[in-house]
Amino acid sequence: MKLVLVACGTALATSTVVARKIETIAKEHGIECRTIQAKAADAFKKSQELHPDAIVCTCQLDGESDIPIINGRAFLTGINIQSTIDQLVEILKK
Amino acid sequence: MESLIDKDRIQVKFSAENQFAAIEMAAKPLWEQGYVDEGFLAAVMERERNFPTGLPTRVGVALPHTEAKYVIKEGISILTLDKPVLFAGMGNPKEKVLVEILFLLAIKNPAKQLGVLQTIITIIQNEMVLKKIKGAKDPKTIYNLINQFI
Repeated sequence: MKLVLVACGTALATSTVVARKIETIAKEHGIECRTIQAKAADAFKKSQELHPDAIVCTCQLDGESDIPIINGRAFLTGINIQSTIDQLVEILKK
Repeated sequence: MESLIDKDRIQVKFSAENQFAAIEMAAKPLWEQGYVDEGFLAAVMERERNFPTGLPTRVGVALPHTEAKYVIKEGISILTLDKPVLFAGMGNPKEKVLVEILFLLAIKNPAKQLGVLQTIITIIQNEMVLKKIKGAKDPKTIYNLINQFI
């Protein structure tokens, strides 16, 4: 089971929509995946505890992480969404 | 569903000098109709400074919001602008986004409101609908446009 941490400023609105999109995309690609949401400020702390396979954020994240970070804004705007999907799927298929 | 979006929380063709004037105007019906408490507006402004919400869609959109504790009843206020104002880009505060439509979200329980949030995202990915919303001369037109997607 893969785990994706989804971060946005308040872990309230955009991350909820993005998390559902990620689950749908994973399913379509035959990947078992669950998501967990975090506020931007807690994202790295949570990722240290939970070791997700990827962090998808709709906000800027300050700091460094060994975990791949994907800018999830395309899931909201639809602009260049395919390259974001490809990036996500590639990481989750590893 | 009891609609989060209603005609009396849609305002069109507002003339705003900057993003904060636009957010303040969008917050007005939420405050007047008892959807949010007195801390809401300042908290939305603060969040917008720290985590901007401008999206460079074909018609620029912003989705200002803040934490659930300022929300009394869930609702969404929609504001269109006669001239675009600058917002910073979501996830990229250095980016400047010209915004013409605001969806100000007063949300407590995003899991419950997922449907309406997804509807908004569907709409902002649809250039034709965005252009129609931007061009709408009255709240009813916008309400009817959005309701087609709900």
